[in-house]
Amino acid sequence: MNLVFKALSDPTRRQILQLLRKKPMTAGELAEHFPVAKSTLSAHFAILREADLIEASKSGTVITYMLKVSVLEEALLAFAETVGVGLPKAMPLKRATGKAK
Amino acid sequence: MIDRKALWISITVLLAMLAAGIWRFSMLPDWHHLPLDGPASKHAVNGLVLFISPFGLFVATVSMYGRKWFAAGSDEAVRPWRRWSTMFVISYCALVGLMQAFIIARSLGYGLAVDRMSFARIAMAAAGILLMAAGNVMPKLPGLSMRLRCLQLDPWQQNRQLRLSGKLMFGLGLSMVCIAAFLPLLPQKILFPLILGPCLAMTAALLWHRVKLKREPSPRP
Repeated sequence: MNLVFKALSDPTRRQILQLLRKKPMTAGELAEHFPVAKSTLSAHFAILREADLIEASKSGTVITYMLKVSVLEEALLAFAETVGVGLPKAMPLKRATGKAK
Repeated sequence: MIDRKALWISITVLLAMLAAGIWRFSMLPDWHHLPLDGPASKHAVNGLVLFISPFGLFVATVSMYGRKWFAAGSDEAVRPWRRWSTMFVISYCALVGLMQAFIIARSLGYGLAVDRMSFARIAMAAAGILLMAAGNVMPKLPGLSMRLRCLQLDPWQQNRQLRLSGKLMFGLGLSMVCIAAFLPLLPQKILFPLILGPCLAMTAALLWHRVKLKREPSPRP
């Protein structure tokens, strides 16, 4: 359970999960949504996989990620997103959630 | 898709419940009148109530065991499903077995010290918790390939279908726990349709969702 909380405490990882809710995506497609280095993103994927929140399937050199969250984990994700866990304290909630989207 | 041990436990409990139900039913002077608080009690229900729990267990066992006739997959994919189904069937066996034993014992005049309504509330809450636990982990189960082509969905569509199934199951369980905890228990004539209605609606919603997914183009080729 600790791994799940750790995974959901980061806004980038939550945004990855939100994107995967819509459809499965390759690592490259996901990377287009984030202005971070690929190695940083790989570390995020590793944490999400460790927490068993995403599933990776490899075909050739392409890794496709798919969401694998339980009902409570999804509720927890929605809660963390609403409250804005892991965002700077000074940032107002509305602005923070707007930025996360 | 339950293991052999769980299947035999389920069949044994089912036969025992059925035998006890038939035995008690045959002893009733009027089968419309099953006393709830001892043989001389004025509170009574229809004797057919004795067959609701065995029927429920039969449906649960057949649907869990029968999944293997429709779905197939590698050992790695089937194992979590087997574990999940076994957990569900064994817990359900224990719950309905207890309920049947309680109804029969009370109609014979035993166990009158236990409040009937409290027992009903606890049983309903336990059934709700069971549904919540089963529904919660459902989206984590791997997708299986269906033997019937019309039921076949791709991995992403299966994932979505399982997520919806899990949420509906969890929601149904949560509403049962809330009813048991906070609301006055209604007479059986109203309570059964009240539980059966959402169950049928849930099944219809899942079928509709499956058809809808089948018509949609998949995001992955």
